[in-house]
Amino acid sequence: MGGGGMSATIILGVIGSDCHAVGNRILEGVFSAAGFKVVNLGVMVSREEFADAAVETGASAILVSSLYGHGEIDCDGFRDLCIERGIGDIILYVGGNLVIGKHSREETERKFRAMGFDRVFGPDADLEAVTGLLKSDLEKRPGKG
Amino acid sequence: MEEIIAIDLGSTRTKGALFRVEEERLRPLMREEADTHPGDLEEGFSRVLEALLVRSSGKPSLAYSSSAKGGLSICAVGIVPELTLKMAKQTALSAGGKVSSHFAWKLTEEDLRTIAGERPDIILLTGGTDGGNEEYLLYNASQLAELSSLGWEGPVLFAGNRCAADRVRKILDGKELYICKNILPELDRPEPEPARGEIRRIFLQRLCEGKGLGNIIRRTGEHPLPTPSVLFDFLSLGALREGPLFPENGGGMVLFDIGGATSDCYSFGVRPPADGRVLRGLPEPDPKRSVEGDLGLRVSAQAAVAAAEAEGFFRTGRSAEEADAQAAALRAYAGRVSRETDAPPADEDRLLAEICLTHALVRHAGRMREAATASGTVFVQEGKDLTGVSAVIGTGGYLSRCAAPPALPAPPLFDRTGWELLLPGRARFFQDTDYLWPLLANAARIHPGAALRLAPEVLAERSFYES
Repeated sequence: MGGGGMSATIILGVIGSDCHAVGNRILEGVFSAAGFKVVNLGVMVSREEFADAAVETGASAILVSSLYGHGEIDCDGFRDLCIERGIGDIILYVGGNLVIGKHSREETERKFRAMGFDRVFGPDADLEAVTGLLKSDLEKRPGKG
Repeated sequence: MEEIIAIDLGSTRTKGALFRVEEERLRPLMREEADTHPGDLEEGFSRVLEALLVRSSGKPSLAYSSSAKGGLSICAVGIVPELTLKMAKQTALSAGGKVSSHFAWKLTEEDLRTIAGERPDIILLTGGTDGGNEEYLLYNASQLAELSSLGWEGPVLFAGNRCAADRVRKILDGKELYICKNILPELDRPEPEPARGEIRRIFLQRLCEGKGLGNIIRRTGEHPLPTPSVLFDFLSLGALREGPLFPENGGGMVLFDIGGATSDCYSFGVRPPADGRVLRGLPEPDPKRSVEGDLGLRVSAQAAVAAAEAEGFFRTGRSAEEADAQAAALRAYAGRVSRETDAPPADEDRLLAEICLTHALVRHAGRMREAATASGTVFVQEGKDLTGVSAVIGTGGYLSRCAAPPALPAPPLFDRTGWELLLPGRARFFQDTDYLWPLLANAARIHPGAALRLAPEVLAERSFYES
């Protein structure tokens, strides 16, 4: 459902009590231009809202942004919730200023991967590269012909 | 001289009025009522019609509506409770229906037995945005195809993901199936109108007859609509929502009808959310109708008292002993009138009505919380903001006649999780003393402008605070 590649539906949003709106709009522009059908939930989105939106829209991926440093608390249990909602195999990306303080990139990535995210990006991610990764991840999805 | 007869067939009383159109304004000439006989709707209708015809000087046009015989019952099926299922329920209510039952996710065998037992007039099958989820939808369609094995099947209206429509048609081949546009084609773009129109069409073409209205249709040559649907259309008229009908109407109005079994609440002309608020959830409709099946003055009196106790209603501003005593007294009264449903209004009804009004309003209204974020304080809003509502209109048997309106809840009020409820702050109460609005709403199907001009004039302002 939703399919992969150019016509895939993806969910965007900024998680938790985070109201950084600008970057999210830029992401919407970039992913729309890359041919994705973008459903942008805006700022201050809960985990449940991400999952519910993905169910109704038949989305293939959820891209979670977190800019204010509380990403670790907000994103904890994200994959488990998707499993509960019956979309356990959906592609999950997370990106932004994910944690406060000095943590190595590897350590942060390990934490978020343990929560079930397929890819973890810092604030300086190259969006073109992310778009490419997403397309190739969608191609590799189970059940994708 | 142009004249209009409007009739509202209620479950216990049939009400009617004769209006004359004078200078683009309706003038009420006569009001008539009779008992509704559940076994023969035509009897009460004929009495009212004939009495009004005697007073008529010409050939009046006729518009009538019905909420008799259980009204229009709709079973709502969606996927996510807060998304397509919520839309399905709102659509059913806006079409004048009552939601007999509702189901999210996948329909179970038990759900099917519930549906077969309730025999709703229409099953509204929704789910998925266009191009979105099909899995639940197709599964639920297959389940509904099995209903006939339970000895009953009814019309299904499909208003979900359009990409699944062809397969739904195949799955429900040979059943009575109607297909219309998705009520939620995109997550942020509700489109209830096509489904509303289709529900109305199904009511007119298929359901009227079974509701005991066949003889009336054949006799008058006119078709009725469900009463709440007519009222909803009336409140949708732009002039009522935005125009200067009420000079004091700055921020919208709420119309209430508290009956024996249910409380009906409509909000209309409500200002859009303030700038800078972060909005969560589906966009709110305007008008918006909600119906509470557990809040009423007779059949639902016990449920209303139970809801009030659960929400701590009696405790507000009272000691625990006083609260318990008051709750016990009202519980006894509710027990009695829920058995003797034709008991005349008593003093206790004012408190019961206050319970119905308060809880129906709290459920209808949205809520807001303050969130401290890294970039300062932000207000997050869910649902409809009624804080600017300036007028509450009471209609229907009790609110049209009561000597003093039930008190409105006094903001600020907060729900259990600390969200502030967005309730009307300083609204004035207007009483539809002759129960004319539902009749005006019918007349508006023929002459909307003239009906609108009369609408504010038939209301009498009452103070919330006199006793």
